[in-house]
Amino acid sequence: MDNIIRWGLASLLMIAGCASPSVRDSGTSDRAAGELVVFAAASLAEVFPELATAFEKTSPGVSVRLNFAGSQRLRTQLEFGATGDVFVSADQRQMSLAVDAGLVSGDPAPFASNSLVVVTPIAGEPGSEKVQVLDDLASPGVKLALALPDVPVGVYTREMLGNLESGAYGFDEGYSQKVLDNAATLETNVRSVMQKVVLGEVDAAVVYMTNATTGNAAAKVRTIPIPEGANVTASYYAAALKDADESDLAGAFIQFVQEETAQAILARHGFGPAPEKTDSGPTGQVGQP
Amino acid sequence: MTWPRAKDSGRSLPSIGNVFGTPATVLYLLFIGFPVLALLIRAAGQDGFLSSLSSDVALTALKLSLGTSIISMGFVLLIGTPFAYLLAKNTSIFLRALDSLVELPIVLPPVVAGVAMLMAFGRNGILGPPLAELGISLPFTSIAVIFAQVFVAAPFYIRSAKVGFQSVATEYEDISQTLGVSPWRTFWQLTLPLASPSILTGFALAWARALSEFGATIMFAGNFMGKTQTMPLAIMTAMETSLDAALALSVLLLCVSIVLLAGVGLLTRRHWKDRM
Repeated sequence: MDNIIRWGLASLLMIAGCASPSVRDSGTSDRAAGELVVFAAASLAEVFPELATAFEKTSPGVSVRLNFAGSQRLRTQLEFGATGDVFVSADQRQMSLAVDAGLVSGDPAPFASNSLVVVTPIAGEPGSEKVQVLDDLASPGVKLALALPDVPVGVYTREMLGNLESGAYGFDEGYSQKVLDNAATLETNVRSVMQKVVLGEVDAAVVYMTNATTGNAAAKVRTIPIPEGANVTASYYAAALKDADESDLAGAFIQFVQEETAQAILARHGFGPAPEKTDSGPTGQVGQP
Repeated sequence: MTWPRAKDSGRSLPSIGNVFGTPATVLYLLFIGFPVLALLIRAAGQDGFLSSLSSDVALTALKLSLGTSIISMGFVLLIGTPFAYLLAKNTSIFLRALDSLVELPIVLPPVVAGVAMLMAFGRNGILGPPLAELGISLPFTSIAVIFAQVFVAAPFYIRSAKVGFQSVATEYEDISQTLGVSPWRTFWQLTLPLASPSILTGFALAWARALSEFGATIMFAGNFMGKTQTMPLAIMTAMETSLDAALALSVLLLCVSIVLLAGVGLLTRRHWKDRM
């Protein structure tokens, strides 16, 4: 019996020894110096590669690795021990949760904004004629792709629908709920939402303005604008992570995205300037001085 | 019945088995058992475990998973059994070629299966427009969930059932028929019972695969509570919001799988007992 245990332990150690370097997560110490790992919201997938290249040019020897997903998924990944240097969230809430979880060092910096738009398949595609105006979103039998209520774009969508219903835009009571009831699928990030429209599988979806105006998929959708008063301002925040291996570089990157070069790239991709700072910024627990 | 064993020929084999087999077994059991145990320990440690277990999301997903997978398995049995029989008994070149193709969905990544089904049955897919004329739209419906499950699960059943049917010597069936028993009765009373251990094993594997189906479902059927959000999709969704709920759902699915495994184990054992 002793023998068996010794054998077992020996082989376990051997396997553990062999396996550990290869199973390491992206951001551990074995990675090359000067590699910055950025966890970025899915809606930044079109603009951040260009932004990263521009950043690499400013500091020779530096390379940026990007990881895109819904902000809520990135935050969860970080909570479960994924290591990166910078977290970029598409809303305040996910950033606040990251701050509260002690993942972030320093204050998150707002650096860009976005708004919402309704997209439908382009004319001629099946379902393209079902949604012509915002009212149609609530019509029976219409199929929508929306995001889950924890995904930033999902939060914004519900807020915007509420604004439409309560504002003086001529929508009936219950409009918001009827639209939500028309969801055929609830996706985990805005790119999956957009994909459903591009594939022509749904009649309409709510996405960010930037999804509909720039990028490859934009040409494959028609947009229906949302009245400005009812639309929402999506705010992007960047923060350095507490466990960052490259904390200086992380700080430099966050500075970079707020400056002219990056802001010009963001503007070209349809993003607005950083929202004005408010008291409700994602600086941690509510009510802290 | 046990097979007689050659007593003297195996002298050196068991020791090799002990030296390499035992540590390998211990290692393997640790590798599989530890994460499963960790899941249970963490789930039991959660305060809200029971309430998460009986939450709306969990029960709805469980009901949907069981409902769709039972229907899927009905189709798999109905179509898969005669097909497996044909594959087992007919040796034409065409069926031989088909034989290896049957296993394609096993090696195909499920996401690819999902994309393929969108291209076939999606609104912009090849069959989309004619289906739309009939007022049928498959994506994002529970039917799409069933399609995805049948697509990925059927090969597990067909493969196993085929092996079962092959194990029944054609001579038995011939004798039965020479004795005047109809082919239909021969199939039901001779072939099927003899092949049933393999059939049951295949059925359990396929059902488990249908229950765990994720990639094709999220592509083709989307993610909507009560309609297309099966247990695996609910776990994925919960993982991004509340670990409690994700743990509870995982334990629930684990229990369902264990019940399934144990049920089939019991059935096959009883089957062998009856026959001995």
